[in-house]
This record gives sequence, structure tokens and C-alpha cells, in this order.
Amino acid sequence: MKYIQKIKSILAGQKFGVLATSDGRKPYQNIIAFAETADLKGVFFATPKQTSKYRNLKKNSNLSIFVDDRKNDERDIGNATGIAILGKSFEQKGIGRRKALARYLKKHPSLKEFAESPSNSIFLAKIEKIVAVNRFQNVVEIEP
Amino acid sequence: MSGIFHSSADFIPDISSVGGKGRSLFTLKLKGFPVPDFFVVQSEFFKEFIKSNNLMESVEFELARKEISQMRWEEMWDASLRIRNLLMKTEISESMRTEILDAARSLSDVKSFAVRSSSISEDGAELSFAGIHDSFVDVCGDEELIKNIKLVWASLWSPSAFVYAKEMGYRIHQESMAVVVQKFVKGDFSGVMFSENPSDKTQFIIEAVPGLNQDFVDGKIEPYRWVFRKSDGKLSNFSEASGLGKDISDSLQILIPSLKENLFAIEEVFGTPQDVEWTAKGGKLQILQARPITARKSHGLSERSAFDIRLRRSFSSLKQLRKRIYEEILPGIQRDIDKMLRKDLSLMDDSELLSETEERVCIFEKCNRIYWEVFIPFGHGMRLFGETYNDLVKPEDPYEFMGVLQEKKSIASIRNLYLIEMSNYVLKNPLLLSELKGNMIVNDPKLKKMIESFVAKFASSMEGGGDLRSIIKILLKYVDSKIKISSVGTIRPEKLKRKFLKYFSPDDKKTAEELIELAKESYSMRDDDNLLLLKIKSFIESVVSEIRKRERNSGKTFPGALLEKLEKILDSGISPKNKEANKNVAQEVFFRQLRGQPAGAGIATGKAKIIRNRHDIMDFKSGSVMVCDSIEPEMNFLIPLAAGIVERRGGMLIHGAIAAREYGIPCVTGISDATALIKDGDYVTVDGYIGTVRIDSF
Repeated sequence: MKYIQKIKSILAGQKFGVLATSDGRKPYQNIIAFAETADLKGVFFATPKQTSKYRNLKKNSNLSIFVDDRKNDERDIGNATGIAILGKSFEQKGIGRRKALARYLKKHPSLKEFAESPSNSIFLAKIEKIVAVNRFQNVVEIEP
Repeated sequence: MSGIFHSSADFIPDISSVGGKGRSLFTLKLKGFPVPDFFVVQSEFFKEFIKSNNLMESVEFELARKEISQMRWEEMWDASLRIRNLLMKTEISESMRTEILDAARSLSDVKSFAVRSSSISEDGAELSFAGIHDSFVDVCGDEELIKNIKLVWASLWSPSAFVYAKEMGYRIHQESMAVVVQKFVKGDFSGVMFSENPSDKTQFIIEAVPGLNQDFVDGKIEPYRWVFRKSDGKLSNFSEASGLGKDISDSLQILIPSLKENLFAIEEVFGTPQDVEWTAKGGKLQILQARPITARKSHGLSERSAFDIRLRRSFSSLKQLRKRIYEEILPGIQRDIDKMLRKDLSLMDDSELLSETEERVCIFEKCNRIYWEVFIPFGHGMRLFGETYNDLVKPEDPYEFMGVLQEKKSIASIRNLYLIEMSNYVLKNPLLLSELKGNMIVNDPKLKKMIESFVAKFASSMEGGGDLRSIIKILLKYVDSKIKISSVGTIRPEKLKRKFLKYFSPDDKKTAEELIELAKESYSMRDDDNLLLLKIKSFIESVVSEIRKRERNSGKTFPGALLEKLEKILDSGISPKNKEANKNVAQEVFFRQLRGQPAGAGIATGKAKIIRNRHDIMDFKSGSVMVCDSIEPEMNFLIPLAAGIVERRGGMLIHGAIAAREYGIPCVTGISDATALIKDGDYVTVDGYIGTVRIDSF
């Protein structure tokens, strides 16, 4: 359980992660504000529709989100854990959107205006696999 | 920046700058106690040295290899060696050097120095710091002074510091170190005194030896010991010194009043019972250091850790040990072996057989004790050489020194070469090969002779003992692997030895060569001692088989408790020792890549074969990756056949790692739960350059 607990704790402790998308040819990365589900099966994030990441996700739903707990000091080499979430994105509509927004805004109340904007969309990243790296080179994989 | 405090200061500097030892010396000096002149290299210098050279990230990299709580002594020593090498390779800045050397010159009439550790956490309140960090005496010359200051800094991560971090909560990540550089006084007598006996608060103790404390610290001599009652100061007990040759207690008696007086004055200054190190020259007493008695206690360390810490031995103590091993112990064991060899068990009646069995158990138990009490401590010889080699040569590879030691081949190494030689002979004779594969019999006279000679020399050191079929089976594995003798042992010991010796003056060369010889013996003993135990075990095996035969043939029964004891002896060895840890392995995750120590350079991919028991040894196929808890002597012959090696037990100087390097096989050690996380048949990639194992299950 210690790995899952550690991953949950890092996801809960970090507000932002790096989203990687691809239009099918080239990779692209952004910082996003995310909110994870309690069962580690999904991650919500919001994005304006006029963005490269939105366009990429509409073309290719595969994504990866990277979250870590590094502190930018020497001890990161042994202490930091990096989490790569691999999965597929699903744009949320109707009741799904309302539920996703509720979860998202619980973690990011200050982003209410941004997230609820009609020009914005909210996505659920369904997690297929989590790859966690600690102690610099120890790698574990979890399929929730 | 000014990083020095001189003992002439008219104030007591803060412990965060001068450390616990430094602070107490300043206090004593200010209060007028006879303390040799000194200066303290503040901890700010240490921090600057680390920061300006970006060393902390490399230190953290070493500390991150494994949780300290899971490290074995060998792994702690390895991490410590790497960090020490890192610091010793790094030069201190010109300004720092100038400031230290100017301070050294400002101490008048000083030919040599004592360089003492003074850790900033050394407040004595909670932990023992005795023996964690290093101190050096009789340090002469600028270069030696700078070198020894760096050695003290490096001792922040000494093997003992790791042990204390593991068991006593010592903050190995957060420490800093000041260094006391003191005028070295070559006293006529020296000793330690305790204003309170740690085991009886109603007493105080004074201990003394002639000359320096070093012989006493090394355990070569036992000091004179006066135990006094605290209530009236009267003598309660006196013990004679041992190992001195002549009685000098009368000369020491003269010092006792002054020692007593100083001891209690010091206790009064600090307000707590004190442990004081002193020396006396020409009847004049000098106080070298003082610390609270609580700080001397190492209570709470497990028995094993206390044993591990004691493994660090001096050159002279190791020389004594070697003398004992080669002049007393090994001949004694050989006499036991010869005696057992002369006996024919089948001719003994049941009662004789029982008494012979008991005798053999006694011999095994005696040898097992010797293994722990003598052979394992003697193994520190190669470590001592490694530290000396690295401090002088400052090699890129902190294990370069092993090349010098490999000149002396271990029994296992000679045995494996013999197997390679036999396999090369078979490879050259296709007919012989098909005969061997077909019937498992040997008709070729030359091969027959080779096998007979092999059995005579090495049978007891292999799984299957002297059984011909087992030997042929092993030989065929070697044939399949097509190992060539020329591919083994590419290191050039002579070149490395010359590289090391050039750092010594003609006068010191003899001592350096002596150290090399001792290290070589220590190195080969590390493997040979296990084979010796295995040989003794083979005599237990013969009595068990005779007893079983009699039980089968005549229905007799032998005492159950004895048989149980015998089986226990025979079972000790191969089976994974880490069963408890294996139970706790998380099941909810898949371990894709595991980090350990890079113990043998190279990359290899192959099917994993987990070695859990004797059967697994014989099932091992050439080209597989061997995954085991630890490489035991009876499985050592598999090493040349393996594509790669993964070992739970960590360390660069353990058998598996040494042999892997000898044969150029990629090896990663120190993978916690290796035999539980890797499954038979998994495809694994062993990266012996960086110390990782990637698992791909198919």
C-alpha cells in the first residue's frame, strides 16, 4: 500500500502538473491545474478550447500528465518522486461536466471563473497506467 | 571569509561553528586548564568546501541508493568509501588552504598536529559520537594537514555514522563538521578518565597506558585501571595493564592526584559527568579533550551493529590477527581436517559413530566462531588498503584498488579456472563431448586425470560434492558457455601496485608493501574462509549419510535432537535469508526497474533464474541472469556461466561482486527483495554501469 498512498499523497499535495499531448506528429506540453479522483482512476483538468492542447486532444486522446514533489534542492535526488500518468482524455459534457467541475473546483476554488467560462472545456483523463519513479531510478507501475 | 578560531580567543565560540569538542576545548582553555594550543577550522569552511564544489548532490546521490534502514554494513562501507573518495579528490580553495596553513604556523614550536573531528551535533545530550567520526594524531607537514582535515570532513559519512543513522536516528543528512587542529603532544603516558563510572554512579575511573592512547584504542593493550569511590575518593579496585611487557604503575601513581583534581574541576565547569582524554609529558599533564559521559554510551545499538562498528581495525591490529590466522588457526583447522580424513566411519560401531559425530559438530561450531571472530574482522584488511589507496591515488574508480588484490587468486577462482581449462579441452574434442553428453561417462585418460585432480582439490567446495555425474553436468554447462581462459582476469595488478607505491618514500615503502600483502591475504581469505567452512560441513555430511545408511539398513534409530542439529548445520547457507522481508513486498504494483549498486560493469539481458535452493543451482543454464539472495561458496562456480548477476545482498566487496568483476559479468547488488520481485523466466536487463535492473515479464 505504501506506493499507492505515496502517489495519492503527491497528487493531493500538488496543484499543478505537466500535460503532454500530441497531434499525432509532434509532442506538446503545458502546465495544467488538475484534480484527481480518490480511486486513482482519473484526473480532471480544464482548458480553453482555443488552445493547442485542446486541438491535440480532439485529434488524439492519448495523453500523459507528469506530477512530482521535487523541491529543487540536493535532496531531490533521493527524496523526490516523479509520477507519470498515462491515459486517454474524455471531454466532459452535461452531468459529467457538472460533476467534474465540482471536483475540480473543490481543489481549485480560485479558478471558478476560468473553469466555468463557456470558452473552456473540462476533461477527464482516464488513467490506464501510473509510472512512479523514486530514489532516482526505482520504477514501479500501477494499473488502477 | 575567516574560517578559523584560535585557542587564544577570549570568548567561547558557538557550537554551530566549532562543534562540541571544539567548544569544550575553548571552555577549558579559558578556565585555565592545561590544554595544548589549538585552532578550530569552523564548520563554515566545511560548508563552503561542499557548496563551492557542488558536492552535496553527489553525496545525496550516494545516500539515495537505498534506504539506510535497509543497508547492510558492507553497503554502508561502500557508500562511505565513495563519498570519502569524492571529497578527497576535490581540492580545497587556495584562500581556505592559506588560512588553515597560516593558522598552523601561528602555533609556535609545533612539529606535528592532532587533527580531531568536532561535529556540530556533538552536544552530548542524546547520542554517542565516540568512534563515529575520525581523528588523527602525529600529522606532519602542510599536505598531510590538509589531507587529514578533509579526512575528518569525510568522516561525517563514515561507516559508523551510517550505523548510527540506521539505528539511533543520527541525522546523517543534516550534519556539519568543524575540525580541531591541536598541537600534538607525544606524551610519556596517556589515558582517559571518567568522573562517573558509566556502569556505577558511585565510582569514578582513571585509565592509563604508557605512550599514546592509540594502542589502547586499537585493543592491543589493556590499560591500568583505577576505580575510586566517589564518596571519599578512596581506591575501590585496581587492574593491572596487559600487553605492556613491564610494570610502570609506580610512575603512573605520581600522576593520580593531579588527574583526580583536574577531572573534578572539569566536571564542575561543565556541570555534568565528564569523559576526559589526557596525556602527560615530563610529569606535566595536558587535557586533550573532554565530553559528557552520556556521549560515550552506545547503548541501543544492536549486537550486530556494535560488531560491525568494531570491524574497523588498525594496520597493527590486523597484522596481529594475520599472525594468529596463519600460525595458529589455519594449521589447527588443518590438523582437525587431517584427523577427520583418517577416520573410516564405516568401521566404527554406533557408539563410536555418535561420539565422532559430536566431535565433528564441535569442530564445525569452533570454525563457525572463528569465522565471525577472526576471519570476518580480518576481511577489513582489504578495506583499510582501499581507503589508503584512494586517499593517496585519488582514482576515478573508488574500487580500482581491487585490481592490486586480485593478483592473489582465491580457491574458488582457481577452481573456476580449472573448470574452464577442462571445458576448453572438451571443446577441442568433439567426440569426447558427444560421449560426455550421451553417457555421462569419461573414457578419455587425460580428462579422467583432470577430473580426478579436480575432485581431490575442490570437491568439497561445490554443490554435489565429489559426485562424478554432478561434476560432468557442471563441466557440460561450462562447455556450453564456451568461456575462454584468455577472457578471464584482464586487470594488471603490477601496474596498479606501482601506481600506489610511488606515493611512499623509500623508508615507508616496506610498510606499504606489507599493507598490500596483508590486504591480498585478507581479500583471498574472504572467499577461502567460506570454502573452509564448507569443507568442514562436508565432514558433517558424511556422518549424516552414514547414520542414514545404518537407519535404513538395520532399522536403528539415532538421537533425534542430534540429527536435527546436523540437518540445521547442513541447511545453513543457500536458502534466502530474507524471507521475512520478502513477505512484505507490495503486490499492488509492478516493479519495472530496481535500483541497487553497480557492482560489475556492463549490460546484459537474459532470462532470470532465481537461486533459492540446491536444485536451482544444478538447473541453472548458461546465459541466464542469476538472481539470488547472496552468492554462497557452493554456487560460486555458476558465476562464469551467468550473463548477469543480481544479488539482494549489497556491497562491492562481496563474493558475487568480486567474481563478477573478475569475469567481466554485469552485476548489480543490493536490490532489496530481489528474489521476490523478480520471477523465474522474467526477461531482465542488468545495467552494471549505473546499478539498475529492468524487468520485462513475458
